[in-house]
Amino acid sequence: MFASIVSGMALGAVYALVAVGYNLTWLTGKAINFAQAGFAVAGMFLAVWCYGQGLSPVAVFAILVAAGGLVATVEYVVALRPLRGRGEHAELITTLGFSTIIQGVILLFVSDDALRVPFFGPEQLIDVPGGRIAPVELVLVAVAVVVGLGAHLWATRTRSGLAALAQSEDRDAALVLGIRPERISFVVFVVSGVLGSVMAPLAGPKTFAAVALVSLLAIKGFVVLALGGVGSLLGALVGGLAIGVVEAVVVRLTDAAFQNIAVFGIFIVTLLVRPRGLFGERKERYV
Amino acid sequence: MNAVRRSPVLLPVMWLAVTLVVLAAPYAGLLDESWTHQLILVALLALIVSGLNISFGHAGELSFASAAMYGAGAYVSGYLAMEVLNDFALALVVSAVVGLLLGLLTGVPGLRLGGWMLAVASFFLVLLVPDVVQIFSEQTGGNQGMSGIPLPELFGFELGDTGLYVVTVLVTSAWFALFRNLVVSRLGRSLTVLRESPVLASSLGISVFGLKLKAYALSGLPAAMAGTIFAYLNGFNAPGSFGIELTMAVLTASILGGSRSVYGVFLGAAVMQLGPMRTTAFGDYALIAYGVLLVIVGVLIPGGIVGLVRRRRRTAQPATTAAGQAEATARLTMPGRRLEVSGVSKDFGGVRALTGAGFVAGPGEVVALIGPNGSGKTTLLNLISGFYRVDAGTVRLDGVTVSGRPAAAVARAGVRRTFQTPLIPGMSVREVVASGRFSLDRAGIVATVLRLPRYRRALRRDRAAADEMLAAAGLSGVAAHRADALPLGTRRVVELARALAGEPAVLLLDEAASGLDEKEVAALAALVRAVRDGGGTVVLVEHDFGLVRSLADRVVVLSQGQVVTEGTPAEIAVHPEVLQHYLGAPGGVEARA
Repeated sequence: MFASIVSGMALGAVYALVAVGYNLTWLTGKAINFAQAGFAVAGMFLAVWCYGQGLSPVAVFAILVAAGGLVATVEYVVALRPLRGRGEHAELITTLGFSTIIQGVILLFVSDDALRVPFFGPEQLIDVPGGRIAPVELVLVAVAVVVGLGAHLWATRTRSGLAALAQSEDRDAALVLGIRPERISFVVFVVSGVLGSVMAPLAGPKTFAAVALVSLLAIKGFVVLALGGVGSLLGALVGGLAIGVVEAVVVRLTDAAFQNIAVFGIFIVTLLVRPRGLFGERKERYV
Repeated sequence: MNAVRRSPVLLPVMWLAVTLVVLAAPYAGLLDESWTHQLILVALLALIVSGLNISFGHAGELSFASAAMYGAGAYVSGYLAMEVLNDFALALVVSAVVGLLLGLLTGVPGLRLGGWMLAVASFFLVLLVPDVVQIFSEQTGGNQGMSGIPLPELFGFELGDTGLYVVTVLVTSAWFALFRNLVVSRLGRSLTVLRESPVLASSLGISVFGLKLKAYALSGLPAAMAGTIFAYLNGFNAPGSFGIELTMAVLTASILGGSRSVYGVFLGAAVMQLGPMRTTAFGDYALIAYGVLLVIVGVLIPGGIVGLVRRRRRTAQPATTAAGQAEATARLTMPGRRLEVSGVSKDFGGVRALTGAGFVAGPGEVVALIGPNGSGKTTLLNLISGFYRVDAGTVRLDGVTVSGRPAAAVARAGVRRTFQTPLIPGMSVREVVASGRFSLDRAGIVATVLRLPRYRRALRRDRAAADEMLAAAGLSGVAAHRADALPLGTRRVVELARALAGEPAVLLLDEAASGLDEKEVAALAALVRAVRDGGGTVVLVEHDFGLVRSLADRVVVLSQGQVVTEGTPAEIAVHPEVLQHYLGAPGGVEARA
């Protein structure tokens, strides 16, 4: 069981990283990038290709940073900036469109088979009670914790983080104080895109690279968002790990077909019982 | 669009004629088998898209569930045909019920948060299709697919290929007639109100959650029925037919045809089905094409192709004019109730907005709330109308406590209001005024879509009440104009007329006169007096003390969240504390008023 839990936490770390990406753009620009998971999966395929060319891990990360940043910039300019001041669902549609394009490109140029992504670190399995775990699983959990806590501290403790949050709450006030809302939203959007692509060499060895993963990761990221509370970076971390563990336990005790249904159940119950999530804030309606 | 009255039989006759022509086409040799097959596919896509249009276009909630509902209908129908009884009608009805139930299952939780969460819950539902099929693999055939579904029978008669075409056309025609009646109805207009402003909807007594749930659950119905036809058409179901790719095609077709349109649905469905979805070469590029289309359409044309045409027509309308003079002789009957606000307090995250405030307003009385900015006047109105929850104290109507109820329930109890910034949806003035009565005559969905006498009676009463209020407010001349394009002063009067059409027991006016010119203020004052003389209870928040003096029977003065004093306007005008707090200058009242 211990091995299952660690393995589940590693999967949950992947979800948590996606949800942190959602939260960053939500907190700073009141928009969620549906394509966040697409960045990760495209990054996995890119990493496999790069390894195949004999590139070193450092070079692979450099390429992923550049590619993620470039694609996120394009997405922001094409699919988000033109929407400012429009209805609620506009960015849902355009970023979903972008995510669909990413899936289409992968299908066209690579394949719809699942590819194994090699881990650049040690691949020797470690014996633990109840089974064996891969080193990459431990790394994934550690990275998720560092990124989640780091983003939380940035948003709550640093000057730039507080400024970024403030401008999304009240643009005009921020403008008066000399903060440039547009620029912050853009920079954070690109940073989350890069976060999406650079998690690939770590997430890939755990999940395999597959087109179907784009939708699945995107949705699980949202479940994490709902469970942890929209806008809570800490919630994304805790919620992600929790859902990963639940999945692992369900698979161990029942059948793999129940894995996603269990997550759906958590999602439904969260919305019914605690719609603001574990760490979300209650909001008063106003007229 | 508005002014032209067409003959009421024209549309049904046209409908029948088009249906008959389409039905007869294969018998007249106009369509061969491959074309009837294509037309059935267009009809299936159109059915699914119409469902999406109800939830997305009209209720404003994006849902991806169509593919899951479609799949549920197909699997349930296939199972029935093979294992229970092969009857088209039975399968259709059972599918529709399953579609509705699935809608409730995802709608109840998904709509709790609104916006993103319904979209996510419904997307998730589609991802679960293969898992559910796998779990029930004994019944569904699992990943191998469900094969051997026979050709349909109807009441014991075998339908055959052409028969399937005929029933498909009939089902589609019938559904679209109901769909059209749903969209063009009081219910459809209440969806417009809801989409444009949930706050306004609740102030009219519409339960936001309830109405959205209705719309969303209904949206699964045509998709599930299309599933029945699909299963019989193909004779084979596999989970891959009900995936995200189908959802994308549906969403694209909806956006292409216009998400709020009725007939545009066929355009969007035909373009998708006869164009990209038919070519195999498209398969490789399908996702990229859908994605690009979603981005382009999402950015450029929010209303789809039909929306584009409609907007052009709209801008061609002549510019609107301000409201005419109100008829001075307007007589209204407005049985008011006694409003008692006692000891209400409210704070927002530590900031005290109101402390133990209270006042009473009775029938045939106008009570004005005055006080400096931030003294809690609007907060008090929001507490009375249920938009805020009181921390302490009660609000009672004729002795019945209404505080603690949600805003829609308070509105249904008879509290109607206007807003500082008028909330006017994009409808004609007459429709906006009639919308004040949505919660008064409640004709159910069935009565609405079938245009039963119950619905027609409600509609007649709406018209009569709207016309009466339009005349009383001097708006008859602009009744057919688009209300949201009118000048501010006229929009305020429209809001007041809408509130009055709702037969308010208590009328709350939030700065109704601000931004109005002298003539408009006089018209407004005449209308408020008519309400009072008709027995109405009126509470007025107003800055213009001159107007307060001429209208109010009593004045309640608020300062820093507390009631300072109350009295007749003449008493208040010379009250020393009021002079100091509110007017800030000795002898200021006379000088200003």
